[in-house]
Amino acid sequence: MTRLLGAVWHERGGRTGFGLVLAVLLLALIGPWIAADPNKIEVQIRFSAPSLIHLLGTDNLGRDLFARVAFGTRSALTIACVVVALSMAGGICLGVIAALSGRVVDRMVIALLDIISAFPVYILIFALVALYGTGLGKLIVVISLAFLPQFARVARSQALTLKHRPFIEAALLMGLSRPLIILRHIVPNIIGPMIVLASMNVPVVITIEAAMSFIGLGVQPPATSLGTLIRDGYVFLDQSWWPIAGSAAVLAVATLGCTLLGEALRDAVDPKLRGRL
Amino acid sequence: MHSDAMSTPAPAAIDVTAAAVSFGGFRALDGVGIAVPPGSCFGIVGESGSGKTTLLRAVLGLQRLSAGQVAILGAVQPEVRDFRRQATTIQPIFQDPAQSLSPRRRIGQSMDEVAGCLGEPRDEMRARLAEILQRLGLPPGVVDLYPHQISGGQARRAAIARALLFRPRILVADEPTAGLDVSVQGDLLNLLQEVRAATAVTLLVISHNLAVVRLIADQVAVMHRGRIVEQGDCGLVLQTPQADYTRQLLASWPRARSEGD
Amino acid sequence: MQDKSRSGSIGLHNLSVDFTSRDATPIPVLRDISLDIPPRSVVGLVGESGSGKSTVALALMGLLAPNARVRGGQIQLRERKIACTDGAALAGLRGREFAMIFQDPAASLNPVFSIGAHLHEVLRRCDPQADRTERQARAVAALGTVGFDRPEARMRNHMHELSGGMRQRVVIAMALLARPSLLIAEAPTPAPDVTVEAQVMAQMCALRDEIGCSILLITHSLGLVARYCDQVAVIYAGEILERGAVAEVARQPAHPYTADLFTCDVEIDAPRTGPPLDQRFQVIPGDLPALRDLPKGCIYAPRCARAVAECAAAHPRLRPLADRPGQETRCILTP
Repeated sequence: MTRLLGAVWHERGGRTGFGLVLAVLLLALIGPWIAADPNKIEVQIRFSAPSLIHLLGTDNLGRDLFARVAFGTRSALTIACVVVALSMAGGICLGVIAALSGRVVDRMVIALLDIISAFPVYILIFALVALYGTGLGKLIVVISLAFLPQFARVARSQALTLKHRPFIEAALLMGLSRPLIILRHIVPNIIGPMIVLASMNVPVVITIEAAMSFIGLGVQPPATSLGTLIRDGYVFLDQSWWPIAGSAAVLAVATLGCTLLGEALRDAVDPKLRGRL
Repeated sequence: MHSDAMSTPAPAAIDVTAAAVSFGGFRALDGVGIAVPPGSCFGIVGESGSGKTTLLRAVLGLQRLSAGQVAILGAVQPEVRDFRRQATTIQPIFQDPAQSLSPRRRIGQSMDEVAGCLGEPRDEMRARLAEILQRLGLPPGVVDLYPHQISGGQARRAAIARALLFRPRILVADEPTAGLDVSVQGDLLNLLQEVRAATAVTLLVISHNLAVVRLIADQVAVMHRGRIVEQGDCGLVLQTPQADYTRQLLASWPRARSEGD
Repeated sequence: MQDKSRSGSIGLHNLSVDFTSRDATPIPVLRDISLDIPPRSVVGLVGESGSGKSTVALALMGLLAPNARVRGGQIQLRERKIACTDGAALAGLRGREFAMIFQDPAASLNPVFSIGAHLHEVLRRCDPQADRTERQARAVAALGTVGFDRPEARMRNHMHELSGGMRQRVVIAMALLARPSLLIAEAPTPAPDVTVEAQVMAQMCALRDEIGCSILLITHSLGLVARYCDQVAVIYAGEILERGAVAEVARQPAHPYTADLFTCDVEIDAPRTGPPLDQRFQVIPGDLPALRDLPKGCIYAPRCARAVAECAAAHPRLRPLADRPGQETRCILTP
């Protein structure tokens, strides 16, 4: 693990990504503690420019934008991490089961994954939201489902290459039960690439969540997320550009940082993939 | 003990009859039958693609047969094996035994799994392990190391130690000398010989190394293109080969010293 | 007899190569390697894993890994002297004077190109004057020489359409077109099937007779050396411990390591002493010396059963034996 972090640190992209992610994490973790109340309305100071009291200025209702961005970042990161963790867990289960079961189960799982990934991500999310309605919990499940296939495919292919490795067959011939083989011998050996894939998907999920919140299908007011903040700022863009600047900048930094870090992690885990998308 | 193995009425340790396996249209095994007397060493020789590895996997239950059957110690094996029950009867020694240790687990953790499979208290198992490690010339400290932290030779011994923890009646060795230098291959072979001498285990050894099999095996089967072209007493088969293929194999074998130009 | 033709020999003199380790310390993987390859002869370079035998081949081809550094060495090719440090000069020899045959033909054929494209490529490099029609004619002729029935049709085939033996013949045809002075053949470990090995070696010897090249056979198998080589050099931990004519070395090894290797080699007709269960095998106890921390004296002394105090005192040189012309050893105990 330290070797992996060392390799990430060795690359300039890795260092930059690490720094940016750290900054965003600090904002999400510490920001809400030091910020003012994000929902306190002071209409008389609406659209004020950044100052020492309001670090990022105020919005159309005079709410402190730093506080709103901090809370928005926290919810955006939380949602992204939950979504990625769910897809990764589901993907590992499905992929490993497909790889280790007989041909029939394998084909069925692949067909299921193909059906999910046949729809463009946004269309799939709209369709599922239309079916099951809005709500943060539902949205998380829906985005997780949309991201499941890529995790499941990687897990399956990794498990397939492990399946005939001598140490797996030796474990089988020792009489170890299948669940134990999966837990002790397969998952620890595929978790590396899965974590890399996860880190590269976090920024994608952040933008999807922002987009969903932007069009009103995600986080509902008075809660904030980067998407709702950008939407609110967008509506009043002709009056002040401060409200959109902070949230958009954080979204950009978070996306860039996660992508760079993810790429550096991927290169560290598998140098052969360097330079590929 | 190998001399009276033939006369005892005990069932064969491994009895394969009319085994066939096809991959697509390719017949990897075609009507193969062997009977391995208990306590003996049985060698299967052949070149790559001869089907010897498929036969080994079929014996272990890792490869289903499309026809024929495998009996172990007289019990005909079902299509889906109960590996837990089988584990104390038959254990493999893979081509690269070091590879049969999980790379992310300490040697000791891999050994503890044996206790779990046998339902044996961990301390008892560790006591037996200490004895086996000593017998195989491994320092007791290896249990705290990961496979990549020990030498290839030590990892081989560790993998064999784990197989021996099951007190198996049969060991199946796949190409035990492949990829080993001549100066160290003897080490592994001597170890197998000593294990055999000490435990009376039956050894089925798959190898392309005719010269080695010739010395350690009681009986030998020569495989070519999924079939057994010749089998019988090891000395006899390799001294007076009947099949053309066996002769060709023996003739192609390069000799380091006794070459007459 | 070999002395007469020595002027035409290909010589490698005092090749030394370091690898740079992760902590930037140089590791001397080859030290003072010298080989003399008489014309039309087959010289075996025999060594176990970790001996550096493959590094010798790669150094001759100028194909060392980026972390390798050639400290010195010289190639003598007819009247030319080429420094082993001169990458550009080595690249010039590669494919024209020196060709390498991997015994796994799949490793040297590109699956997306046809057989014809491979042969044309060789000719474009070795004979840039030849035009397309001439190249085609020579390529087809070469395929015919190595025994393909319908060579024109084979030109359009790809690697996956050919069997292993046919691929090997394509590689031989490529060498035939390149007409190198030296063919470097590396036998793979683990060894391939003996019947395949025998075929490949027979084809290479036929090629040698056809184009009059020399062969450097890099292998771990004493059997191969004994059967096909005229001369042998035994390499251990980056140093040549013994050189000489194969028949002599096999009959009377002048270095204990060579003798131990022959003892460990299990002969196909070795006598069975007693029942199979009582068979035991010879081993050389101990491990290769650490290249970072080589013994001061003879590098084989720590594992050598015959070692005496003087062996560890000073590093021995490769010296000719007085009573056996052509045979050289580093062992100070050999008279």
